[in-house]
Formats: sequence, structure tokens, C-alpha cells
Amino acid sequence: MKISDEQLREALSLFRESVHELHPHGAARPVRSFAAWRIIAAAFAMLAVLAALPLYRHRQSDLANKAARIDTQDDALLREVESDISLSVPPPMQQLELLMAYDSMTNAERTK
Amino acid sequence: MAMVLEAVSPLEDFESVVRLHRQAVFRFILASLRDRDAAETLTQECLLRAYRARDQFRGEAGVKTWLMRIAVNLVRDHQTSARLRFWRRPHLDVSAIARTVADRQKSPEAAAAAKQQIAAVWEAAAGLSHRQRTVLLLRFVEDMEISEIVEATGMAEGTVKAHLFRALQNVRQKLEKKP
Repeated sequence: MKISDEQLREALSLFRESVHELHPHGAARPVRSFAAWRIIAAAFAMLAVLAALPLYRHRQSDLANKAARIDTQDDALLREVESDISLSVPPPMQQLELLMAYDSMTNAERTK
Repeated sequence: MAMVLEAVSPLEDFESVVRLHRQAVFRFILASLRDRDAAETLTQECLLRAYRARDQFRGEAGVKTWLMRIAVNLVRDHQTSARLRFWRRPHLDVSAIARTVADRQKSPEAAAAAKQQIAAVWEAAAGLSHRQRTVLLLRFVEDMEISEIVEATGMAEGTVKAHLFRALQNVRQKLEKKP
């Protein structure tokens, strides 16, 4: 895109204005070095990661312990349920079963 | 009785010289080097050299031209030695400066265009040779006449004009390339 002399003059005038914004000990002190800020930011990020690592490991170990505890509890519960299911008569009905068995016995069997 | 009027050197009141010209010297050095710390140091150095050499000032050129001559030499020397300090990359946040000026425009569109133009000229100036940049800054930022630039740089008038022409060509090309 070709630019006219007028546009060139305008650009130079804006440039002049921008340079006149530069003051010694100015309030709008420009950033010293973008590269330096990037290095500082990277260093902070690395420190944050290093600081977070033990916390992460501790949390992971907590989660693993909790999972193991739940597994143990589940196993115990399962064993209990299985033992209950394996009975022919549920425990609250067992007295009744004994009575019924007694009623169905012959006299000879009862004297034994 | 004949009265003899002694000409008073404009450098007699050096505090006024500093007050009047310090900012111009500083912005010329900063725009040349894009290094605020170096610009602060070299501005002090420039004024110190001027103060020490104030007796040699003959008044043929203006005070500003004389100070600019010292500043031009200091910038040239600094750039020569800066080549050896290649790890220290000077940086000036041009976008912040451009934003300040662009925000004064009437519309957001004009502000955006102004910001682009300012950035393009700064970029072009950064890519110029020391002589071209010096001539460009003295002419279009410090509003100095060709004769004053000749005094300040020690170059011949034809050389100044040639550098100015090439510098403007580079700026124009950079502006034409911008989106």
C-alpha cells in the first residue's frame, strides 16, 4: 500500500509527539526488559511447581490410603453379607425353625 | 564616555541551560539508544561535559545545537561499546508510549491507526544506521534546521540531506508494509 507525503508527515508528527513523551525520571517509566520479566516469571512458576509437588504427593498418598481403607471395609461387609446369605434360615427365624422341627418329631424321637 | 558592553555568554547561567535543554538531550539519547538507564547516564555526562567546556563555547551555534553535538558523539561512542555488551539488550516499551499518544485521538479507529503508525516509525528508526537515525531525530523530533544538523553532526550538508532522504525512505517503506 503506497502512502502519501501527507500520511508520512502525519506519522512523523505522531512519532515526534511520542518521543516528546519521554521524560527523565518520568512517571511512565518504560519496562526495563521484557526478557528479564519473562525469566523472573519462569523462575516464579518453577518455584510454585516445586512448592506444590510435596503437597501433591501428600494428597495422592492420602487418597491411596483412603481407597485402601474403603476396600478393606467393603471386603468385611461383603464377607458378613455372604455369611448371612449362606444360612438356610435367617438368624431371627432360627428359634421358630427349631420349634417346627420339634412339633414334627414322633414321640420316640422326642424321648431320645 | 564610551560604554563597553560585554557580551554575556548564554552558558553563564548554566542552571537555566540545564532546565531548558535537559529534556531535549535526554529524549534524543533515549530515542537513539532505547535504553533509559544509559540515556539518564549519558544526559548527565553530556551536561557535565558542556559545563566543563563552557569556556570554549564561542556562540557560533545555538546552545541546543552545541549540546546536541556532544550528545551525538556520546551516543556514537556508546553504540560502539554496546556492540561488545551484546548480552544486554536495551528495551523501551514503545507500545506504552504509542498508547499514550494514540489515546488523544478523536475516535477509537483513529487511535488504533495512530498506534500502528507510531510503532512503525519507531521500528523503522530502530533499523536505521546511527547517522540516519541521528539526522531523522534531529530534524523531525527536535525540529532542527539542516544547517543546525550540519553543526551538530559535523557532516557536510549534502551528507545530511542524503541520510535524511534514506531515513525517510526507510520510514515510508515500513509504513507501507504495516497491515
